[in-house]
Formats: sequence, C-alpha cells, structure tokens
Amino acid sequence: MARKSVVIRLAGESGEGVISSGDILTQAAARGGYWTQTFRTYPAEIKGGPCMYQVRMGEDQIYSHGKWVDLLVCFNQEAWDLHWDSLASDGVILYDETAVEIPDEYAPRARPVRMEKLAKEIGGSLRAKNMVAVGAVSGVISFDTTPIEELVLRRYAHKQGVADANIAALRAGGDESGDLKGSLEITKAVEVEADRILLSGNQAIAAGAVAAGLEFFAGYPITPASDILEWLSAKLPQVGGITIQCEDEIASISAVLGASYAGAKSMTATSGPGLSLMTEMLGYSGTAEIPCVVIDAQRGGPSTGLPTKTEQSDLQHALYGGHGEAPRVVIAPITVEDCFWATIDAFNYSERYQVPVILLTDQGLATRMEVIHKPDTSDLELWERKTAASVGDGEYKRYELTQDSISPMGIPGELNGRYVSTGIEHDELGHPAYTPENHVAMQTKRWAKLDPLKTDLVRHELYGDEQPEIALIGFGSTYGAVREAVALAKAEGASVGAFYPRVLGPFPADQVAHFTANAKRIVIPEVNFTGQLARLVRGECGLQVESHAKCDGLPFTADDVLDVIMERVPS
Amino acid sequence: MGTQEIRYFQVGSHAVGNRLLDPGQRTVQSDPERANALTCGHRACQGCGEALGARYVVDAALRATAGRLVAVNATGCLEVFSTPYPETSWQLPWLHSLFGNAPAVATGVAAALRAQGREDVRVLAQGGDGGTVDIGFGCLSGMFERDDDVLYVCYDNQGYMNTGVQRSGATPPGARTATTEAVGDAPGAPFGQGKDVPRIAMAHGVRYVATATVADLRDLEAKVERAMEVRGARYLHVLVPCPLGWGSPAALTVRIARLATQTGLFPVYEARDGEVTGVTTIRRPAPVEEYLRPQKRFAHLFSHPSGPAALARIQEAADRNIRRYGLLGDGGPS
Repeated sequence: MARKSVVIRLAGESGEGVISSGDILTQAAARGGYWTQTFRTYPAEIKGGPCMYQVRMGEDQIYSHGKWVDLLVCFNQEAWDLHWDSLASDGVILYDETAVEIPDEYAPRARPVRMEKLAKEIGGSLRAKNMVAVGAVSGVISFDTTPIEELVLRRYAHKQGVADANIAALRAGGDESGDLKGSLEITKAVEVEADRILLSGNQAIAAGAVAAGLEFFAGYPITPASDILEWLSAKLPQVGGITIQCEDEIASISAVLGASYAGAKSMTATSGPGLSLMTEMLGYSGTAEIPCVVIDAQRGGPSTGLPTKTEQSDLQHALYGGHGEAPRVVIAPITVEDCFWATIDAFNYSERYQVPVILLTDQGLATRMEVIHKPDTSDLELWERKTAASVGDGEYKRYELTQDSISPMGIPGELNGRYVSTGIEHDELGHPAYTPENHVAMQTKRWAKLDPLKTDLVRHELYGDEQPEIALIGFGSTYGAVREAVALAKAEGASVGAFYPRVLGPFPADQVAHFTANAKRIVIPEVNFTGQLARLVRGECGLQVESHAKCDGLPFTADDVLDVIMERVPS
Repeated sequence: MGTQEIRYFQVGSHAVGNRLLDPGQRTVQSDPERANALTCGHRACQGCGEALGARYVVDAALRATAGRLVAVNATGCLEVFSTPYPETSWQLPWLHSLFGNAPAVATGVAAALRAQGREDVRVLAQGGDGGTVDIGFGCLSGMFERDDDVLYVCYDNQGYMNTGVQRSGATPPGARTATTEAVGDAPGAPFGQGKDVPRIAMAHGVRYVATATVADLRDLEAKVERAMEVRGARYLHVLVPCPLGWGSPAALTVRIARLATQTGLFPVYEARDGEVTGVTTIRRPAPVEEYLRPQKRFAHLFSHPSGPAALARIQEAADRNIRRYGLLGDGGPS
C-alpha cells in the first residue's frame, strides 16, 4: 500500500553533494505537488565534516521533519555509523557501493548504488553523484522524476551537455534501486495548487519585511541569519529600499535606529552573539522610543557555542537583556509561514508603540524549507507611526504623556521635527530631567503603552483541547512537532492541548491561566538547558510547571513529544 | 677581464641557496627544529592561502621567540578550520577570543606577562580581514594607540569566507560576494569604499608595519622575524588568496598572490614609525586583467557592459599604488 508520507535522510561528508541532493529533492517534491519540510545539520567548518539533510514529503500538510527514517542514503561509512539507529523498523538503505559496509542483519533491506562509478561514467566527474543519489531515491519512493528534469533543464538552460549528463545520471540512478524499487511507494500527489510556494524561515522573514514596508536594512554576516542580509542586499534596492552591510552588529542596530529616527521602517537580523552586542542599543531604543525590528535566529550558545545547530536559549536575553528596565516586545513565530506574518506584526507593534521588537527564530526554523500557501496580502493591515506633523504649530512635546501613553514622533525635516531625542531620562519635551516624579511618570508611560499587547489584539496559537488535563506550553519552532504529537495523543483519547504564545513579552498571563484552568500536568518542552520558558511561566503565572528542556542542538520530533505526553496520561 | 657578480636567486629557499647561508638565516621551514605550530591534518580547503600564511608566520614567530609565544585568535576561517577535534592543529598556547576583540584580549595577555615579569613570553594576535578591518577595528586602533607589545597579523582573504563569502571592508571593488551580487548597473563591490589598514596603522605611528603575500614566503618569515625584534605594537598584513571565495583554481593560490603584487594591486612594503622604509619592487609588471581573469568573483567584469570601465578604474588604482610606493624601482620610497 502506498504511503502518505516518507522521511528521507541523506548523509555524508559536507561538500560531496548531500545538501544539493536534498535541495533538488525538496524542490522537485514541492513542484510535484507534495507538502514538504526539511531539516539539516552541517558542520561549522567551511568544507568537510559530517552533514545530513532530511526531507519529509507527503500528500497532507507536514508540520515536522519526522524522527524515524524510512529511507537512509549513506554517502560514506560515517553516515551509516551516525544514522543507522534512526532507521524505522521497516526502513531501507541506499549506500555508495565503494564507501560503505552494511552489517549482515541490515543487508536484506540495503542496496548498493554505484554513485561514484555512474557519476564518472555518465557525468564525467564526481559532481553528478547527487543526481545518481536523487535518481535512486526517486526509484524507491516511485516518485515521477519529471519535475527534477525540469529543474535541471532550467538550471542548465545554456549548457545542454551538462543538463543531458545530469538527466542521464538521474535516470541511471533510478535503475540502481534494484528490487527496492517502489518499496516505499508514496501516494500520488493531488493536483498542484497554484498558490503553494517553497520557502525557508529566513526567506519568509525577508519577504514579510518587504511586505510590511521595510525601507532600510543594516546587518552583519552571522550564521544562521546571513541569508536575510544576502537576500535583502539583492532585493531591497529593487523596491526602492536600501541595504547596507555594517562593520559589526553594534553599527548595524545603530544605523537602524538612525534610519528609524529619520522616519524609515528599519530592521536588522542577527544571531545570539550579535544580539549580545546590540543589547545597549535595545535599551536606548526603548528609552528614546525609536522603533526598530531585530531578528534573532538563535543558535546553540553560550559564547560562540554551536554556530550551525539549533537552540532556544536567547529567550531571557531577548526579554530582559540590558541594564535598567527598557520596554520591548518579543515575538516567536511558530512556522515558516508564520515567519512572514510575525515579521509584519513586528513592524506593526514597533511602529505603533515606538519600541524595539525582537523576533526569535532559531537555526532549525531559519534554514528549514517548508511548502506553504502563498501569503495573501490583499487585506494586509499596516500600522503606521503616530507622527508629529498632525500636532500643528502649537507647543510640541516629543514624549507627551497621553491617554494611551503613545507620544507623537517628530521626523527631522518635517513639521515638529526639531526636538531632543535622548536615552538620558527626559521630560515630555525630551530635555534631560532627573526628578523622582518625572522618572516614575516616564517609566510608567513607556511600559503602559504595551498593555494592549496583553489582550486579544495578539493572536496566539492553540492546538488541541482548549482547557486540557495535560497542557503543553511552548514557543517558536517546536510548534510543528508538538502539534503532531498532540494530534496523535488525542487520537489515543488523551485530554491534551498545546498553547503557543506568539508574543512572549509582554507575556499573555491571562491567556495561559485560562488555558491551564483544568490542567493536571503542565509541561514545557523547549530546546535549551535551564528551562527558560518554564521559569517565565512560573514567574508570570505562579503555576507549577514541569520543564522538559533539552539542549542537544537538535529540534524536537513529534515522537519525542508524544512520549512526554503519554508518560503523563493517567492509566 | 671583468668580473661578474654571482647571484643566488634562490638564496633562503629549500633549494640550493640554503647551503650557502648561516643556519640562522635559512628559511624557518627548512629548519629541522621548526615548530610546525599549525600542524598538518587541519580542515582548510584545498589551496587555502591562509593556512599557508599562518604556518609560516607562527613558525617564524616561534623561532624568533625561542618558543616563548602565545597566540590570540579572532573568530574566522583560521580559527574554524584549525580547531575541530580530532584535527586540532595548534602546537602552542592558543586562545580563541571572540570575533571583534582579539587585539584587546592580546593587550590583556601582554600586560599580565609584564606585570608578572615574564616579558620573555611574547604575544601574537591574528585574525582575518573581517575580524581586523571591520568588527575588530576599534580594538585594533586602541592597541596601536597604547603601543601594546603585540604583533597583530591580519590574513586578508578579502571577505567573510566561513559564513558564506560576504563582503568585508577589505573586499576589492568589482568583486562579487553574497552581499555584493553581480547585479545592477555596477555589479560587485562598489568603488570608493574599503579600508587600507596598513596605512591606517602607519598613521598611528606604529613602530613596525609590513605587508606580505603567500607568494614570497621567505619575505613573510623575514618580516615576522624583524617584527619580533621590536617591542610595542606591530602590524603585519598578509594577502592570502581564497580559492573558495575568489572562485580561483586551488593550484593557483600562489600565482594569484604573486599577480596581486606584480600588477601593483597589492603593494608589498615595510614601514617603521609611520614611514615606508622598503618596498618589494615588481619584477615582471602585469596588467590587472591577468590577475582578475582567473578569479570567478570578477568574471562579470569580462562580460558585463560596465566591465571595461571598471577594469580601467582597477588599473588606475594599481597604477596609483605603483607611483605611491615606487613599485617599479624608479624613485619613490625605497
């Protein structure tokens, strides 16, 4: 019987075609009408080191990358040694005949592929190894290779010889799967919906920023956020914006604040080490009330940490990092599609409340490729800054104490553009003022303006039971795996649900209290060492929660979370 | 009958010339006692100029200090490819600071050694061009200004290579990187930007400043040796081609480095107390095309309509260097 979805893992030495094979397969699957999601790990070295690319494809929408591997493709011996224990009980193996030895007990479901030999014979070099591998994979899952051939023809449109060799290698690979051919047949995809696109989290953020009206981007290369800088370097000028690459992260956020002061919607993107450098300016942004959006694609910390692995360990830094107490908003998008919408939210909150907004993704979400519905922006609502031009010719107070605590912001060169903007504690006019009364009034104003974000204005995500007995609370990229686990546990009759605050600061304590009203167990899965979200929920809601934190640099799988749930189901 | 001066063109190399030199003058790498401080088996790409340059620099510094040396290393390719277990390659005390602070960390190490009366132990700080001309520039300037007893070596491969080949402040005009794509009217990195850090170091009055490339390794070693004879802040800027980021054949690393000097695009000189005291003259002048053509990062200059104008501007910059430093040996500083 054909399968509804398969998990394919390609593994080998970085630089020998593993990543390109995965990319080709993913794009072809998306074009062939399948929903896909990917996960990859690669070394921090420039070349070499073990890398892995996992593709999960299926006819229904896919929320996580899967734990057990149906088809393992080993480019070298190390790939087998590292990944054999992830094989599903009926999983099959393809391996490079010259490089890998498979133990006898696995031999019945393993087939050698002449990757090097065929690549050299047909393609003339080892470069075509990836096409042989992709061909063999397609054979095993009975995937029609037409979309792959289309991709090859498009990519090598001006090099017919290269295109022909690649297609020949692909077809030869198909025959290599031998009697495993069709053994993991995947159900035929339904008609391709025209509105589907394949995006990574980073791409979705860059696109969301452009949709929100981004005018200025400044950044500095850092893994895993660099693609945002690269993409916007090429694309933002095409829509009239400006991207600059600064000399470090301090300069990046400073340029962003300068641009925002001058009236442009501005953003920067970085990872944990860069956020550390930006911290002083976050406090300045909050105090001088200059909007900005900061993307933090978290990676394994602390310090240089695990640059190419995933972790959710910047939560507390994002919420509280810096001296003194300056307001900020922290958003955690939960899927690739949500990266798009959350970036628009980030600009809306930032512009309306004149605060820094930090968007927390992580390596897993930033680099994950996911098929999504093309976001429909026809009803897009963009919130603009309350400017001072409308105030008129009377006395203008930049930091006026208003009903909603939001003060009109002057733009230099426009009416009421002349005022003192400063991070020193100031009075309504912006003049430095240190009296006790003034400091209390200004701190109160700066925090009070965020109160609406504690209400229904913010869309949080709830999946499963609305007030379950087993309540899971998580944030960010773990959503997909948790969602799948909740669905499986509910199918077994468990009372379970998952709540994902999309805005973590200000924290939606009331919504969490409502969600946990009937909870017997509250479990918090997160990818870090100390259980930062658990500590946050305890502190904000006074709830007894169980932390399920792990920090192995890898994302949760649905099976991991299902175990966590089922252990707690009363028997 | 007149006499002809005998010229040993290969003096100092592994080959014939070494026999004719005092052991102390021979190239460090020909010394059986050489330290091999960046030992084999590390994970640099094939043809990596930085791996080659760093081995010669650190071994030369170790010989000059009789093995009493600490290395402080900024984040970058050199740090990344030399450290992963089990291919860890360093054979000396070696400290990875962070990206932008190697000069300041080295300052601290040198100060502690002085405070403890162990000034025989010397400090070498090293980083790539990103860690030097961009994020580490403030710390570097501070180290220069305080005249801290550190030799700082910048291995310049003209971009952020280990994060995926993005532009740096040392990327030359016209070069394609991930953040200066070959698109638009003026493809590649813009003209009129970037930093000439050796000259900035000279402007600080740094005691010893030198530039070098991996095309002349004995010159590189000799400059390290001379730098180690001086106390206080010193700066060495080494051009190290990057096959991955430059899109050049791995086998051509040394030739491309040589062409950088023979075209005048990368002047090789030495300066003391802010004044140029010696230049390596060009032996076989070459037009800039000869240097640019083997590198894919410049490929668009040979196909894009704006290419000829860009090539002319690059040639102008080379000619300016030739005049400024007297690289043809016809006047100018010598």
